[in-house]
Amino acid sequence: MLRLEGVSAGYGRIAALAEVSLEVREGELVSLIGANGAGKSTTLRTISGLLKPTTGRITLDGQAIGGLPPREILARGIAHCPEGRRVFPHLSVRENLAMGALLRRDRAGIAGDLEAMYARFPRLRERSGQAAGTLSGGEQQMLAIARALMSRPRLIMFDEPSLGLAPSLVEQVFAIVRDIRATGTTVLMVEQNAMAALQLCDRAYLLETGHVLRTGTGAELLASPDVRDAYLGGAI
Amino acid sequence: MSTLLGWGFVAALAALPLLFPDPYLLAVLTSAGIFIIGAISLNLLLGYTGQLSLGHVAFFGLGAYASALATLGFDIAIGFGWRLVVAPQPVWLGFLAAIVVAGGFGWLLGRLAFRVRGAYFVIITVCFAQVLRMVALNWVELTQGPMALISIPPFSLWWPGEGWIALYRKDQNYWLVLAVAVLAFLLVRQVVRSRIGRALVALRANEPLARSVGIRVTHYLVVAAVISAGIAGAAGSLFAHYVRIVDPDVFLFIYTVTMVIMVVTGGKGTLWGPVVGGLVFGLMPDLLRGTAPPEAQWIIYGTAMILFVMFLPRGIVPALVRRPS
Repeated sequence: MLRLEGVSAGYGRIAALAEVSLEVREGELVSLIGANGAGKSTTLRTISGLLKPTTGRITLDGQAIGGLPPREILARGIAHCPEGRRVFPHLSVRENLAMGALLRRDRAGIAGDLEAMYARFPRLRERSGQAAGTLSGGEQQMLAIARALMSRPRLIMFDEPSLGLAPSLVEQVFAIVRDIRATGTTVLMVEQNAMAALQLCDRAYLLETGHVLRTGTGAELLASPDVRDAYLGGAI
Repeated sequence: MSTLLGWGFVAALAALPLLFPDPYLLAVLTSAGIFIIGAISLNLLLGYTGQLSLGHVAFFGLGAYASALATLGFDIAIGFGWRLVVAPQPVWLGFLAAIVVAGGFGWLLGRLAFRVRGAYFVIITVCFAQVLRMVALNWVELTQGPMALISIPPFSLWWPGEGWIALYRKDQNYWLVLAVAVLAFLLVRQVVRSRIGRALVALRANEPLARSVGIRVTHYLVVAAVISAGIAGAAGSLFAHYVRIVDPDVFLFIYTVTMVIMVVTGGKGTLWGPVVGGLVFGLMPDLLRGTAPPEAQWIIYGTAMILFVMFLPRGIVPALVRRPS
């Protein structure tokens, strides 16, 4: 479905990705793991069009999408939940959700999806009129996920969905990610919590200083000695 | 409630010339009103997109020149032996020309400048206003340079039962400025509450996120710049037909600074901010003139400004209207 071939990208003169090649197949849950600065977020930013690749090819179902503006890439079915502050703090919960459906024109469909999001995340319905900045960290993450789903993506990319959340909420977020995949949406996820990410995913890529160091199924990487040493705190 | 308060405020201002028909008071309020319209337009850029345009007076000056030239007519060489001759046009057409010319330059500047933002945007806008001032000074054939455009006709309006009437009196000009200010306020409010406004708020809060949900950043910034420039051009036209003389000093940096002070002290990113800040800092110099010795006037003005910024950093209006955030 999504394929990166020899993609490099960077910020100004600093190269953050060096010839990264990876693939996400329809219906898969793929994780990108690696240390800080390995290029995980940059990979997602390049796919979603926030950064332009300097070399290489990005294709979605065989069509080149590298270098297209984010709007165009979203319209083709790739939604991105960026890292950092994930919601628009001054807009209400409802407006944040509406932002996710900005490119859609089917009013009835949007209203139906909004209702579906409220049914799935009842907290959001309770707080629909409230400014998103007043929600708790966990609620903001739910809102960010719901907003990304509002575009009805075929592929959804999460950047550190568990970052800064309490352990019980981390469990809940991973359950939601599993749910989303179960409904047929393909997922590409960047996660610092390598253990959890590897247990959750079908396949994973281990990035280091801008290139792919190792790839395989989640179980394979979990068993791989260098992954264990570097990211899972040695022998468990 | 606040809508009712707003209309009550407008009604009080509209009734003022009937209660206090003092020409000096009306002149002061009219000049302040013209700058408040400028501040309302600047607020759309500074307050809602977060971009500091330090060349905002450029649009004001463009509007003043466009309107003055359209109503006076001109005859200039445009190269290859061709001449561009424009006969004097009615003032309402000059007013429209001011909006269109200023809006057009707003579009151009927006397209060019929003590729670079932050400090670079500030520099480009400052240069833009300075370049226009130089053009106004040196293109004597069109602008009369430092000799200024003079004998600009006053604004004229069609009034039922009266036909076209020229607005010479202070109270007439006061009402005209008040009416345009209300229209500018309502237009900005409409923009801010629309899809564009939500996009701008989203952009200011988190640009990568805004782009990732599909907001066309440049598009919305340019739309805001065009509307903002158009309103500033309208203010410039009012200025030209009220003062009835336009010289290159309409591009002076200090006018931009005045508008920025009005927006920032009043509360940027709030609809009422530029109005409140504009009334305070637009009227203060004239109030001080009557009460303080000349050498103290600007010291008091400056001190007041510093105190406002120190104690009400978000502006007067946000301090009055406490909202949870």
